[in-house]
Amino acid sequence: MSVATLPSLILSVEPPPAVTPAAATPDFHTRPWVHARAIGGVAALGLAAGLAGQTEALARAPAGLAVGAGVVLLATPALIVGHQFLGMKAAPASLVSAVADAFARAGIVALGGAPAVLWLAATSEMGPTLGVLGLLGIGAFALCRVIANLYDVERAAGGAIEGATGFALVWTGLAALIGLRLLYTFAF
Amino acid sequence: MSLFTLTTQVLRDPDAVASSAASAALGRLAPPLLALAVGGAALFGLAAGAGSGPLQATYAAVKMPVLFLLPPLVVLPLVHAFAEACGASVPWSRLSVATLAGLARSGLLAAAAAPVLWLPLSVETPYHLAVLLFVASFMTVLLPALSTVARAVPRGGTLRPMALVGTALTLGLLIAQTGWVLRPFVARPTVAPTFLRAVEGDVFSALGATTRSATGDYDDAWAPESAGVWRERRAE
Repeated sequence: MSVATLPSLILSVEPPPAVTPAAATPDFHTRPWVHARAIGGVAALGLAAGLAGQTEALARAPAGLAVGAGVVLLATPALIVGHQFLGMKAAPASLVSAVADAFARAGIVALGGAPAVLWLAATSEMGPTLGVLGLLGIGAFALCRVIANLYDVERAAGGAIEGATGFALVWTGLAALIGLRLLYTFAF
Repeated sequence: MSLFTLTTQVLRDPDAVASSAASAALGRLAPPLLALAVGGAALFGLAAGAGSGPLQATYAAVKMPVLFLLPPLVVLPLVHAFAEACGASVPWSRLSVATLAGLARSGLLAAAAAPVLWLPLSVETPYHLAVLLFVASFMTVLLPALSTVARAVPRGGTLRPMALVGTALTLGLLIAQTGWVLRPFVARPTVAPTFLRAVEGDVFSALGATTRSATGDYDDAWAPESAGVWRERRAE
């Protein structure tokens, strides 16, 4: 019996929804609740990692928020100033939006990963280690997303893509180093 | 629709089942799909524990559905979050049905693979080799479930390979640690059957020891010296 002839308990078969094609103007998260959810996600990840029954680890729960905020505060000025200095076309506001969007998406991922980290921390002593590894992974995701976003805003503004990509890579390297340094301070 | 018809469709075309995104479909499909997954996993557990006697087989049959269902369900929020962060959002209802359909399919494969696993375990296979056989069989039957879930997420978006690697690593870790917490499935021949052993260390602290033992190196015994990924595990 072929699948096509089977009685249809399986109801309406719909194809997976198509992803909306990229618009000329990047579609960044701008709603406050999305950012609040992202901040809550990073905090939840740290808290889940700290729930290994160790008070010391619990004290490290806000480490992710401190690292994220530190990277944004310390590295974004260099992005804006360097971008304008090199004569690229995207507006400073769109650069800030690009960075904020990337960190918001990373925070959403952190929220999604919190249950897994919680289960692993509750059943082993891997919590603190997983917390650090989770933050490294989330940070890598955020920085890769920043590169993609910066590319998009420069393209939308009609700027040179090659220069923007190189600049984004250099800035991302700086942000990653700052993030690693802050992670060492807050998580070890 | 009968359970038999659903079984056929889950085996032949799980993506069609996974495409039933409506909430009503989830409510209607969840119980039979769950029954297929739990039943198949229980049979697989029965085979895994059969070599150690009927009591251990019963224990393993009770625990196996938990090992089958818990890691994929815990990792589901991460799959959803990654999809959203990559710009390829998938509704919760679609993701849930896809997970259940995948698990049902894997449950059926597990039931079919149970005799294959039982065969070597019934002929006094060395303990550590039996454990490795069990782990390899378990991962093999679980793979179709994971691919069904992966196909339920729409294509496209940004940074999808990164999301895939992150999800796979997390799921692997969850399965390993959950299996470690719920052990033993295959009991040691010299130990009386037990439902759960005391939680000691984590899965990494034992992986090295069991690999060495499987190759005939019984130095340092089985028990880990201490716990944790970065800690000392062997006494000097």
